[in-house]
Amino acid sequence: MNKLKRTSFMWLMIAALAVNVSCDDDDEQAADPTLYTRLGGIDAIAAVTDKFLTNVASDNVINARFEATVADPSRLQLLRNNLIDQICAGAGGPCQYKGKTMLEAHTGMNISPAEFNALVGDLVAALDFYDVPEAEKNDLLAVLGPMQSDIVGK
Amino acid sequence: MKTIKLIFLAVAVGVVVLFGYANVRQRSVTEKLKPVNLISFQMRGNLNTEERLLLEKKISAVPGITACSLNKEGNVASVAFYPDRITGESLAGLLTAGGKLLVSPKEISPVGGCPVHQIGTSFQKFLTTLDFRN
Repeated sequence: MNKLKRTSFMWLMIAALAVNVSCDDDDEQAADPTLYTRLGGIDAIAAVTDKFLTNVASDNVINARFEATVADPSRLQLLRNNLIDQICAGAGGPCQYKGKTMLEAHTGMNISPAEFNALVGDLVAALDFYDVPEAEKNDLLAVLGPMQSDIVGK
Repeated sequence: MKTIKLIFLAVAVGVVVLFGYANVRQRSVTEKLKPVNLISFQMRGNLNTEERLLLEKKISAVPGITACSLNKEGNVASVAFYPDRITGESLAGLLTAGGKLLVSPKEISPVGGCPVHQIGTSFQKFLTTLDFRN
């Protein structure tokens, strides 16, 4: 009888521990969805990126910097994938950015503040087109904003 | 003769390694996305801001098109699309807005652009060709 009680108690404790651990995980996931999830996942990020690319290609302030790239399907694909990877990874998604660092990629290009601001304006316009909520928009810009120092004037 | 055999063996091993790498490497989520093309047009005509935004939304909703942008000056339009579902020529027709605009392909300089993507493109394209999972 004592052995039965001890065994029952042991299984009860194991069950209680299992429930406690799993419940904790569920609570964490429910409370803190990543920015990637809040943005809508990879398809939403791809849609915003495409809109961003067409905004940039139509923007007379900066489109000369990009037109040879976007006109070549292979180069466009690489640029598009790098952009999506960068946003997805920065937002906590299941992507890995494999491109060069912003500093390496922009050294020698002498990007002006006006050009950088135009690019950010095109990104904000793309986010607004898809009615991305203000909180998610600000969170994304907070992730990408620090790149300015590695891009402008290099 | 021995040298030639060694060179041939080295090349064969290299091809097998590249082929194996192309098919077992971990692809990013983005590599599985369907590729798009992008085309820009020069526009001539008069559209006010509301008409411009409406045209943008109308074109963006066409099946096969993933994005469309007309700039504030109204003289450049760019469209991202799936090339297997829609052609560049048919896009020009959509952008005329029922005859209100004159549309012509934008002259693009074949050189320049992002140097980074120029460097990485050829190898990436080669790997994608070897990947049977595509």
